Amino acid sequence: MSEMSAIVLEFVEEGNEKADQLEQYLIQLENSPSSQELLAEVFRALHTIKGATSFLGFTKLCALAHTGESLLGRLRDGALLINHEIITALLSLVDAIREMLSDIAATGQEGNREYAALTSTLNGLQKST
Amino acid sequence: MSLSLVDGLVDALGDRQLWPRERDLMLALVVEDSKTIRMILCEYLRKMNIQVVEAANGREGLERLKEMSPPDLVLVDWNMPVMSGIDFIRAVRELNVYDPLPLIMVTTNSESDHVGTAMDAGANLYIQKPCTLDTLREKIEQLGLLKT
Repeated sequence: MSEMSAIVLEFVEEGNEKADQLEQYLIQLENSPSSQELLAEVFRALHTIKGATSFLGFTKLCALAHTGESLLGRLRDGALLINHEIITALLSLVDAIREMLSDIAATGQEGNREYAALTSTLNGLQKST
Repeated sequence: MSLSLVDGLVDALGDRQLWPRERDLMLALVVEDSKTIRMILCEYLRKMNIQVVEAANGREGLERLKEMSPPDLVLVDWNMPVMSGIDFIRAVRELNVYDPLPLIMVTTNSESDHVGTAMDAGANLYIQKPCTLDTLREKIEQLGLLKT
């Protein structure tokens, strides 16, 4: 196995671990919407996924994670309050991340799936008040 | 910074010489919570013929410093659980004996405020993620640690 493929495999494993953590933290966050600690954990998990994608050139996954991070940034700054719609969109983001990780594990590539609707939803929620 | 975080770091050095060192290969400590990014940075360093010791957060980084032969440089991430990179840098810089140790902050935080905070804390250089092997090599050369 080449060094780079070992790194990609590690990325897929770490990404799935972080996706699982993200899902758990988001479910907890819906029940404790004022918890800054949970929000920080959500942010850190997504940030870890995004950070690695940028090194490995997985630009679609990086862009999608960045959109989610921007929404989380608005929540962290207090410009937005957590609600069911936001949690649902972020859980959809977790599903999308898992799909892309699955494609990467199978082919080494991000695949051809499109996430325009999810991106639009996440961007739209950033602008809501 | 609590003294307990750095307690024992100086004692652990014992009679080991810090700088300059005499050894064939350079030695780096990489403090990064993402295992994927840690693997990438370590691979970059090994391609530069630099030996590597790894730590997953700032506190682990301090522990590795106690145990390892004094490194020639440290790469440290900013956002990490348990102990951040900034707190790690401040803890190391509290100890005068580590004044010559080059600390490179490698992070996605790119705002000038962040750069200023890292340099004020005691970082020698700041590299934005993602970085390439060539970028990292160039930065290490800037520190005078690699012969061009």
